[in-house]
Amino acid sequence: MNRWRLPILVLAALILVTAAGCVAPTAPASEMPEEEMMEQVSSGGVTLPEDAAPADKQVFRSAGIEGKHFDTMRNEYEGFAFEATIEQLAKMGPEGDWHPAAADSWEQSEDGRTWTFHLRQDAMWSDGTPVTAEDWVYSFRRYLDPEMSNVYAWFLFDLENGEAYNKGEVDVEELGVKLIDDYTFSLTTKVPIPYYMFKINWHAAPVPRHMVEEHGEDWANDPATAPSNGPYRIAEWNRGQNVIFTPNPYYTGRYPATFEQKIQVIIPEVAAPLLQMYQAGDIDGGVGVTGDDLVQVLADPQLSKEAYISVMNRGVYLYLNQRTAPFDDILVRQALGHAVDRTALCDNVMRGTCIPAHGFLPKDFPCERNDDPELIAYQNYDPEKAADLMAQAGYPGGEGFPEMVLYTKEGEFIREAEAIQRMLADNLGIKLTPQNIERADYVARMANAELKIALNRWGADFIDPSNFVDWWDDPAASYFTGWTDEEYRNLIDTARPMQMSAERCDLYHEAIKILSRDAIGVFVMNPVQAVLYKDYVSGLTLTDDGTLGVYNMMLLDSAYITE
Amino acid sequence: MARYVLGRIVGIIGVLFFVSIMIFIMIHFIPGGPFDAMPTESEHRAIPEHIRQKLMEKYGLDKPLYVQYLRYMWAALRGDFGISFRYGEPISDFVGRTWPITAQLGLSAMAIGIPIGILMGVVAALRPNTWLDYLTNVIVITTFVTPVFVIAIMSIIIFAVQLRWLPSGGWGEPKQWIMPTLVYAIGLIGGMARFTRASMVDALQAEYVRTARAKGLQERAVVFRHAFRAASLPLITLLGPLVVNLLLGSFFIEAIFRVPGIGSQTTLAIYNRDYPMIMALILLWTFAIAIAYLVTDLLYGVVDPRIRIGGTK
Amino acid sequence: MQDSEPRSDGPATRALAADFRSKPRNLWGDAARRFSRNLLAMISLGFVVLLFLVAIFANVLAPEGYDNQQYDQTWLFPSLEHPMGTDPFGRDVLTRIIYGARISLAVGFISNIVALAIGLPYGAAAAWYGGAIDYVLIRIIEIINSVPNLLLGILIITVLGTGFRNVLIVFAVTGWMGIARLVRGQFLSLREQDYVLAAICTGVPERRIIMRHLMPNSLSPIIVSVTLGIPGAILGEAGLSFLGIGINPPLPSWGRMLNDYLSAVQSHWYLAFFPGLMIALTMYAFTLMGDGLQEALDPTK
Repeated sequence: MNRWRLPILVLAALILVTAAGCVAPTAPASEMPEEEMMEQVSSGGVTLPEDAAPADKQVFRSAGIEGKHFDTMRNEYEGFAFEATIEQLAKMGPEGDWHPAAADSWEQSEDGRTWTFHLRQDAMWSDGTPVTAEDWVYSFRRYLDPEMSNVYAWFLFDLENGEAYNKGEVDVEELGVKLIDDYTFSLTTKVPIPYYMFKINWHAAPVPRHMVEEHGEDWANDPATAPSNGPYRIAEWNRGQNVIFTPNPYYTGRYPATFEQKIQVIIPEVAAPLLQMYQAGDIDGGVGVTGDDLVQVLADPQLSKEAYISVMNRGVYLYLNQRTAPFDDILVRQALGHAVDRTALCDNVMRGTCIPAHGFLPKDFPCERNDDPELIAYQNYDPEKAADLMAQAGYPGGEGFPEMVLYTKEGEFIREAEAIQRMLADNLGIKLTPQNIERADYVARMANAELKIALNRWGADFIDPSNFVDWWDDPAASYFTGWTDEEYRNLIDTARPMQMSAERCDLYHEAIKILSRDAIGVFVMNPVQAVLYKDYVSGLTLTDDGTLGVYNMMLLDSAYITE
Repeated sequence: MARYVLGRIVGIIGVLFFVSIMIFIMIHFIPGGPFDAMPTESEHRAIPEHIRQKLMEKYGLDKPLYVQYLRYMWAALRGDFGISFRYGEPISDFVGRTWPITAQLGLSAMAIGIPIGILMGVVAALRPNTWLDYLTNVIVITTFVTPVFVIAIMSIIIFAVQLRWLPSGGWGEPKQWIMPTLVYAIGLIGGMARFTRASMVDALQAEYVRTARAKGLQERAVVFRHAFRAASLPLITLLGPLVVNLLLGSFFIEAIFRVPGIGSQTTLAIYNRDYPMIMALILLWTFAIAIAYLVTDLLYGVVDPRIRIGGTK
Repeated sequence: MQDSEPRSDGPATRALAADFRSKPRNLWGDAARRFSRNLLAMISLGFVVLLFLVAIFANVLAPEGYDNQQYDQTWLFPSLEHPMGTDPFGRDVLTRIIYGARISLAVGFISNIVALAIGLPYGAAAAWYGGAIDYVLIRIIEIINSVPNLLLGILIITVLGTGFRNVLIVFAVTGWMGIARLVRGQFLSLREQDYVLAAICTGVPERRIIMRHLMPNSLSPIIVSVTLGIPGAILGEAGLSFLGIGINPPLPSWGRMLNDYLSAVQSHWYLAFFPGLMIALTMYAFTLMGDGLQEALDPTK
């Protein structure tokens, strides 16, 4: 609803988590003389580096909005998703590489459709019950169980019979989720999906079957009945205030807890001044800031040292409803594409808090080739060309072009909309009035194709280009514009099942070029964000060039507090 | 007297009834329903129709509006206000958990703000057009003319970020209570002082005060036994709704200072299309306001014996 | 400000005097004299008049257009060329403040006029007809009043959408009840006055009684209430802007400017400061003016 509202979910992903990739295992105490026993071992069993603060200081505080319950596999409305408590099958490193976590190993079948996971055999829930393959199978099936009414169920519709089972058309046995033995299970997809690891490790988490069976849906409302399989367990949920995590005493996995306590401070959905909370020292990090807050961070000598800056995996573009006039006309759309001065917008208006985009893939995303001059030429800033195209379309100088509302959602990108409105007025002579509407309203009206033009955004669910291109011509997608194209469909259908390679990227790049060429969307920018961590938070897992990486699920695994 | 109170209570029930209908219709008129949008950021794909249907059924939203309303009221009359869509908690539990926090905040703000405000008003009235009066006026109007969210955010920047004296918000330890309470109280001081001053100036010019002075009564007695007593009558009118406002909390204060109270919840509930929550909170508010008016009217009789409650109109 | 006249010269006799005598000293003349002796109130009045002039002649006074985006001079701190700096779009903040006066005053003024247009006849009708009509009318007010204003505002905006017109509707809808109540109270008390009773008994037409006796004598509290209602709406608009549901860009209102840049207050203080200052000064002026009017119009002083 306003600028204080920050991209909390992305943060949640960054903040969470487990332990100790690069930290040495505990040295046997007996080998050293008493006096030299200076080194500190965390409750989770990690030997902390020498500069670590004493145990009572090993507390990490971050912030997020309140969830409804702890059941991430029943996201009926809004669940807490704490990766601190959830050990997923595998973890993504900073370079997009996969590391064993709950699964010791996994393999893909010859036909590419079946993934078999071999689980870590000593895994236990934080109440001492073993975690078995049955728990995992149960969880995946439950996710799609028609009785659960899971609003995210579509996310796993690509499992064999996923949609049919969710609609109650086939039996659970038909679902592509199979138990092989106590510690092995498999997932089978309809078609080969090479990036499936990205997908299921983003969403899927096991639920404690024994608790669900004993307490029903209530299990997830109380920390006492919500054990975790991750390095931390939920110790307290003080509603409206915070959630407190402590090391899971039964955790035996690869990423043991370094902190003695992790706290998620609960903030309201609107109006909470997150940057000021961080500046005041009420939280230690994991705060992602954009817009004006980012401007301030960049200007502040201390804050800028604590900031990890990256281009977000988000594309911001003008949604154009192509079912009816005037945006069913490619000339009009192309005119818009050439009329937006992206450089002025990002460099001057937004003060470097975004980067100009001419195509849909965000900078540094797999297969991104945003420097391709051909791609840039489709939607470069060229007011004369824009005016020409507009005249060709029958609206010289904007004459006869209907006045419209340029919608924005929930206070996001209002400033961008205000600038774009002016650019289109100056360069094309068309009049748009920016208007902000609420999320529920926006989505409902978008689904009914009521909005003509909106400044929309797409954020990655998983790190694969298919996530950015698959839905444009899919009528079931929220942001379907009414446009379909056979050539485009062929390109993405061919590319999807391929293993990641230059050829695959070629195909995706062709698809991206079609989107820009025909101005299916007018691509404007990718937002930049700074994720802040206080300088006393040490040991973050970073990429080779010292950034946080795309979706670094190992970020805090070996982090600790220094003196 | 009893008959009067009874009559008023019947009136309150009537108002509650109409408000419930009005709000019920209004919230269902808001574009976008609770299950139209994906929760949080992920609305990339609309909720599949068969799942949406199931959810609508589960929460009874597929029924005609009047059926939904009658169901709701029938349950509400038995004390069941439903379960929050947003928090998954029964509304009664939710209110039981959050209201005491808001009440504590409101009461402490009152405990600080009202006496100081009244005192400032009285002092200003006794020394009209002196520097004391002007100073009070400036303080009062400055707090009165500055939007509360500006005061709140600026005080976070000054006292939490720059000076590091206080935490930026939250609610758990006493340290966290200070800033929201004071910011809240500041607004109160302004209003109270302004109002008290005006009432006192009026009262001090009244005949009976002149008479009391002429009688040679001590100034203190004149001020407190006569003038202040008379001036407190309009104050009571103001206090009724004010107390309710404070007990039900402020969106701005609670959201900005992260106070887990009830004050910010009605606004959030509208954004979240949390129908049961909106209904319950607005009815609660209506009820509290009505009771406040009733109590105010009864208090009149106590303070000013000339007003006979329940007498002829 | 002690009145040297005998106490019997209360509102009733004054009104009678106004009605039957030539007018050597009428209520308004007295009020104007008293008001002019109140320095603060006069300064405030001057400020308000100035503000209205600025609002009316905004397009003449402003150095440039209100949406003159110049990307080569964005985020500039105050200087001689731009006394209040430039905003993120390179627009002159002073210009925006001047046009903002137009929008903010329009919100305050129009919404109060509309509220008055509804509240005045409504309250008058309730008081004059009394009985069942009064009961129903008052219950309606009670019902609407029992929904907090902020929520009513959010609900209205959510249904109607953001924008200037809808913001006006919010304040008109939330503002008229107070005026209606006030008018009703005034009428009720005046109705019982001897001179009105006398007029009724002697068969003076209803319309004439209302227009000649009741209206003029209830006017002063209404004027005061509207004077204080205008800054109330301006402040309220800032509140709506805080929730992102105020005026649509690129129109400038002080409330929107304040809120848009409150997030940048630590790095670019002037962006939020000037609109904030204008809101405060305007509130100040209207409040002091309202106080002055109240004192001046109160015949017992």
